[in-house]
Amino acid sequence: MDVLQGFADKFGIIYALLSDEGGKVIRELGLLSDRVDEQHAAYGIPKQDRHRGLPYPGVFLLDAQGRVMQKRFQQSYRERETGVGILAQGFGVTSPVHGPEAHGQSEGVKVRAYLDTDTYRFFQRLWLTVELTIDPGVHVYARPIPEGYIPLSVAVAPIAGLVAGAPSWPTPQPGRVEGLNEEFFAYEGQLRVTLPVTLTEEGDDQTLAVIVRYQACSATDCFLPSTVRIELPLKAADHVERPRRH
Amino acid sequence: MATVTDFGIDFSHIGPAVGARFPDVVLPDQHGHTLSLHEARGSRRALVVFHRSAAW
Repeated sequence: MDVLQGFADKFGIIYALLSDEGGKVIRELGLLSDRVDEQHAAYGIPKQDRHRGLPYPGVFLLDAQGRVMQKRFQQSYRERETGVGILAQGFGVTSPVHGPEAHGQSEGVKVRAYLDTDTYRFFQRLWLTVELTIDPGVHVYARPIPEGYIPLSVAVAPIAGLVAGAPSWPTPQPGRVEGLNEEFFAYEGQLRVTLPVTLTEEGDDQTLAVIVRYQACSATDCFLPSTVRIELPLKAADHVERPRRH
Repeated sequence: MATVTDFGIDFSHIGPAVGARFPDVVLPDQHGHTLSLHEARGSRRALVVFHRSAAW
């Protein structure tokens, strides 16, 4: 109890922290991880007795009747989602506040990028959102796309330890080029693309460089292909404990 | 969902299934009070988080 009380005080936790001494409930629920030794080996961490009886790390989302709506589990004990990330991705509850935000633009298109949190922890999954606001009468190409056109793409410039997941794209609208027998898909108005990003190296404050590439066209003209680079500063959170390295 | 380190674990058959009622859990909390998950939840939705340890 003292350990939980100390943990709750340190992080200002007001929800219930339950102690499953000996992992009895974890075993009954079938959540005891038998992969800890394998994961320790992969991360270069020596085996320790106190690391026995760990659950698979993850979250159950329960509905008002107590039924499981969704399971969100991680492959290893190092990985975790943020609280705001779970609420947004799982319950669709978006936080009114978010992390660093920055803007860019080109002719006909405004781009806004933001992270869901100000700080990162080692192996924590953060969510990056890129929002495009496209002028009326203008569209941006999506995939699938005919040869020679440039679809909207979002990437994060590589830095040591960065793992960026696949973006989730909104559904584009089908279209046809007048006079040409070509079908294409495009976005109009406002759209948001989200992707998970994780930093697997502990350490210092970082800057994520988000690279958004697209080609915007009106019914009659196309603008030059645009590459908008948006930089988002991200602070390293204080670590509870530095991961052991060898 | 993107994974950082893929250990090839399929969670669809691990633990209570999607759609099933989550079993009640009765355990002591950080204040030493015994708490029942479903009693504490009442008729609200809940997040049940399994975390490796508060000490490690």
